[in-house]
Parts: sequence; C-alpha cells; structure tokens
Amino acid sequence: MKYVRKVLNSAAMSMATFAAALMLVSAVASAQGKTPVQGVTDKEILIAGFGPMTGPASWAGLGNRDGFTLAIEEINKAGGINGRQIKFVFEDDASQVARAQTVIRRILTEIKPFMVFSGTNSVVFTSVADTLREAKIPVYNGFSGSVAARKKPEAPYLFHGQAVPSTAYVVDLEKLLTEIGAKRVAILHDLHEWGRSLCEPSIEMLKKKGTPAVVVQTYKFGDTDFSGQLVAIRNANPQVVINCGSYPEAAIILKQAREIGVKSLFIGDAAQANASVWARAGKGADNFIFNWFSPAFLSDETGPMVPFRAKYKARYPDAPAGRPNHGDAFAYGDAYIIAKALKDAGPDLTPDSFAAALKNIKNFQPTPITGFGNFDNPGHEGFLKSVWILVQDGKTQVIGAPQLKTIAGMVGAL
Amino acid sequence: MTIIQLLVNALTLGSIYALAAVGLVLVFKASDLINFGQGSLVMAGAYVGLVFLLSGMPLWAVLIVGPVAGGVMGYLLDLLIFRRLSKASAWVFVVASLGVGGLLHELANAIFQSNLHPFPPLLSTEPQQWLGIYFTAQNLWVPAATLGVVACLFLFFEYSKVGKAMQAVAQNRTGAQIVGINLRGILALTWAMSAGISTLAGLLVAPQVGISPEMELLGVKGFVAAALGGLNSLSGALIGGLLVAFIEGLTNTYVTTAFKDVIVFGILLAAMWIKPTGLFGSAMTKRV
Repeated sequence: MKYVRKVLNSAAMSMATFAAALMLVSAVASAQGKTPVQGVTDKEILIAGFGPMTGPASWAGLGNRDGFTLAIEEINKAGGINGRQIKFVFEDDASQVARAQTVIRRILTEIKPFMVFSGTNSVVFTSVADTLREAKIPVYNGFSGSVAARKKPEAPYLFHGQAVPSTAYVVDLEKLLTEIGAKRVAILHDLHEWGRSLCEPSIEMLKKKGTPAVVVQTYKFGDTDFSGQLVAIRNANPQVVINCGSYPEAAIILKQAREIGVKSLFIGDAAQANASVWARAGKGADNFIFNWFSPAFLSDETGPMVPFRAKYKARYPDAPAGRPNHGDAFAYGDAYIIAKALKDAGPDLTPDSFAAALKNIKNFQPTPITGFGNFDNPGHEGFLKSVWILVQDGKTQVIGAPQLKTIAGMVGAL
Repeated sequence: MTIIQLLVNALTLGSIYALAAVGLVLVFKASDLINFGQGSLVMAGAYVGLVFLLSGMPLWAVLIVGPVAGGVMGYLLDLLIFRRLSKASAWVFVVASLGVGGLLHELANAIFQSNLHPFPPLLSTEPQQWLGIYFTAQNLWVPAATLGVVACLFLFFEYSKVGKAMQAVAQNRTGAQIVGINLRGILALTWAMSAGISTLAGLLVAPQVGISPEMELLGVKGFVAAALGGLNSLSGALIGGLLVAFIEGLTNTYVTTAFKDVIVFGILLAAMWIKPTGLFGSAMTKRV
C-alpha cells in the first residue's frame, strides 16, 4: 500500500511538473508570437507632437499643442482607445529648421512614440518631411498646407489633416475673383514658406487669367511695419489685395492700410482666420475676406463653436485674446480623427493597421467644429474644401450669393 | 507725395527706434558701455504696462506709471547685477547685459508664454487726410511724446546739477568721485532713466505690434539708430531712429523687403567708415 501510494505520488508529481512545463512553454511561445510595437503598451499609446512654442510663430505651436491636448484629455476621460490611454508629449521647434532637426531626432531616437503629430508651420515641416517619411512610423501633418512638403503618391504612413493644400486655395481664389469681378489685383505676401506657397501660384494664376498683378510686395515673417509696402500698393490702386501670411502680421497690415488710405478689399487665407485680427485692426478689417475649412468659425456667436470656446476657456482660463486660434481648432479635430483611426485599427495596433484605418476614413466629421475628412486619396490629404468668410463690424459670416453680390458691387466701385 | 507719406510714416516708427536708442545712449554716456539687452528692457517694460492695464488701471495712467515702474526695474538691475560688475572688464559687462536680456526674455515666455497680447492706442487711429497725405492722431502723438522726452533730457543734461553730474561721470569717473559726485547714485539713476524710457518705447509701439517676447527685436533697430546717430549723442539717437525707419520704408516701397535689413546695415557700416563716432557723435578724448 505504501509502495502504491509512493508510485501514485510520484506519477502525480511528474504530471504536475509536466503540466507546468507545458504551460511555461506555451506562454513563451505566445509571447514570442507578439512583436512589441514602439510607443504602444497594454495601457498606453504614446503620441509625440512638435511645433513652435517660442518665437514669432509660437501662436501656431501653442495652438496645436493646446487644441490637441484638450481633445486627448476628453478621449482619455471617456475611456481611452481600446483600453489604452493616450499620452501626448509636445516638443518646441521654435519655428527654426535647425532646431526642428534636433527635435525630430530626439523624438525618433529617445521618445520613440507610436506616431508623430506635426503642429508646425510650412517652412519647418517641409524641411523635416522626408526624415519623417523615412522613420516608418505614422505621421500626421496637422498644420502645414505647403505643397512642397507633400507627395503624390504619399508615403504609406504620412497623412495630411486640416491644413488644406495651397493649391486648393488658388483654385478657390480664382473662382472668387471671377465672381466678384476683380480685375486689378495686388499681391502682398510674407517671404516664409506658407505665404510664398499661396501667393506665388496666385501670381501665376492671375497671369494666366489675363489680369496680372498690378503690384507685388513682400514682407518678412515677424515684421511690424508695412507702411512702405502699403504706400506702393496705394499708388497702384488695386481693387483687391491678396495678402498671404499669418494673422499677427495681417492685423497690423489691415490697420495700417486704412490709416494710409488704401481703399482696396483685402483677401487673406486661413492663417489669418483669427478674431484678434479684426479686434486689433478695428474698422481696417471691415470687408476683410479669408478662407476657412469647416462650417463653424472660431468667433461664431451661435452653433458648435460656442460650447467649444466654453470648454476651451474652462481648460485654459489664462489664454489670451485670439485663443482659441485656428491651430487650436484644427488640432482638436485632428486629434479626434487620429483617435478614430486608432480605435478602428483595433487592439492589435500597428503602424500598418493604423494607416489602413485612416485611409478608410470617408466623409467623417470628427467634431461639430470640424469639416468632413476623406483620406482615401493618393496624397493622403484629408481636407480639400474651404469656404470664404467675410468680416463686417467685427462679425463673421460665410460668403454666399447675397454677399458675393454686395462684394462685387464694392469692387466695381473701386 | 510718396516720399512725404513715407516720411510721415517713418516719424512714428522712427520715434520708437529713437527712444530705444536714447536708452542705450544714456547708459553709454554714463558708463562707456553698450547694453546689449536694451531691447529686452523695451519688451519687459511693455509687459509691466500690460500688467497694470489688465489690473484695471486706465490707459493714460499706465503710460505714466508704467515708465516709472520700468525705472524701478532698471534701478533693481543696477543694484543686483551691474553695480557688482563696476570694476569688471567691458567684456564681462557685455556678457552680463546679454544675460539680463536672455533672462528677461525667458521670464516673459515663462509667465506670459509667447502669446501676442493686444494693447489699445491712447489716441484715435481714424485716418485723416491733408493734401493727399494720410496720418492719424496716434501718428502725431508718438513723435510728439518722443520729442518731449528728448527735449526734457536735453534740458536735464544742460541745466540740472544731476544732469551735469551724469556728464561728469561719463567723462571721467575718478575725477567725478574726487569732486564728490555720488557715482553709485548717478549710475543707478542712469539705469532707471534708461529702463523708464525703454518702457515708454514699448508702450508706445504696443498698440501697433501687440506685446510679445519678440518685441525685444526693436532693440536691434535701436542699436543701429544709436550707432548711426552717435552713441554719445541724444540728438543723434533721435535723428538715427528717424533715418533707420525712413530707409526701411523707402526700401520696402522701391526695392524689396528682402533687402531692407541689408540696406540698413550697409548704410550703418558706410557711416561708420566715414565717421566712426556716428553722424552726430563726438570723439571722446581722455587725458593721458
């Protein structure tokens, strides 16, 4: 009996040992079957962003950082993505090419995120775009509309969000100029990549249209006096001035233009879509026109921008006048697009599954303040449509047929 | 007509450059040293004014109290930093002034971030027209204020005891001390006046450019204006400021913005070559 018990115990021990060994081997095999994905753990997805937080373009980087952060906090509070929280870090490139190279190197070699969000402006993004393409991790360009930074077909993991490409601006501009009957057009642009990417093709467009620009003037990003250029423009007596540049300069340009007696209509771009422009320019911004990429504008007094501004101010109570700016609004919407793609990619998140999910996004409005995104095109450009907005008495309205008629009348009288 | 319009426009911007230059000239006259952080005093002074404005002080009061507070800032900089370097070499002072400039810039960034803060004008910006030349009340008030400051400084240096004491210190510190002039007090007053005037420059330009850490770049133009006009000449600082603004306007209108700074610095170098002490500066002689 003792012997039988001993044999049975020994067999039981052997079986237990065998089962434990089997389980161990199975666990090792199963672990080896899953390759860890950079920037992704069971609990977290790491997204690294970059943009200018200091320097004359800091409004762009700070806007992108804060808008993106606001969205991420909402998404995390609602449970995150497939059981994971999003961690977002943002680096300062000071809008300097050399510094951006260092920042990108740090992001790729030290921070090692799952993906990169670019909240930087065109000149910097153009300089780092190829490096980001070669990095083989998802990259989402949220802010640069320069076509110099885009390729068709685009690299598999690089996507372009709400920054509508400059080529689309020129197409819309030509249509607008025809509709309002503008024949004497002046061009004023900053010498930075963004201003040039809009206005240089616009100059070509005007030549082809048979109405070459009556005068072309330029300024430097960060300039604070435009009286010289505006005097030259006044002397040329255009009906319309196309100003391509950013909103801090646009505010001064509109203000000084009125003070110097420039009577022309000013048409700007989405980088000038900021209430601080008309707040600072006062009557100089009356009849100022700019383009915009969503059905709701930043300073709307009704509609979805009202609750957006309220929660923005609650999150950032010390934000100065002019915030939220278009960087904030774009990045907020872009974060939700990214979140949708992350969710659709499923729990086994990889760069390939994310890219496939993003390309599958069709006619998707991520937030009420954002337009409709479609990434299923060779350039991976999610947003290609814009509207024109008119400023009068400090209030904005989308330009429709009645406004076009009024504007055409004003232009005709000049 | 274009040239006259450019001249009228240059009056406003040139006045700002002139005030920044005057601040630099004051320090140079008293200490024989160039404050490379002068632009940061313009920027920091503007933020001082902004804080008063946001606290509810009326604008006209900000324009008086702001420069006084800026003066206190200048006094503190002298007390805490520059006075301790009074026996150090010029090179040490240069590094210290750059350090102060950097410190003020980063402090502004840290407290206010890089956001642009609007600032209201004191007078109307409604355009007026006279014989085809456009101007605003703000365009007139800024040069008038600048002229007033420079005139007051001229009278101060010419007729007041303290002003003459400052000139004595500028000419010969040892000699000034021997005759009983309080050197520390004079240098402290110099820094206070320089920072106060720089604050006024920042507050006068703020309605046009807004307030941000980038305002310190005006200091570069102030330096060019002072060098062009003469680093030891107040009237030179005034003329230098107007000249720089006028040359910029001419370049923007008739050449291209891309060459604006090239031409300004080119003219500066040419002027230095022809007259190293600046257009209105005088050669400084020392007894050996």
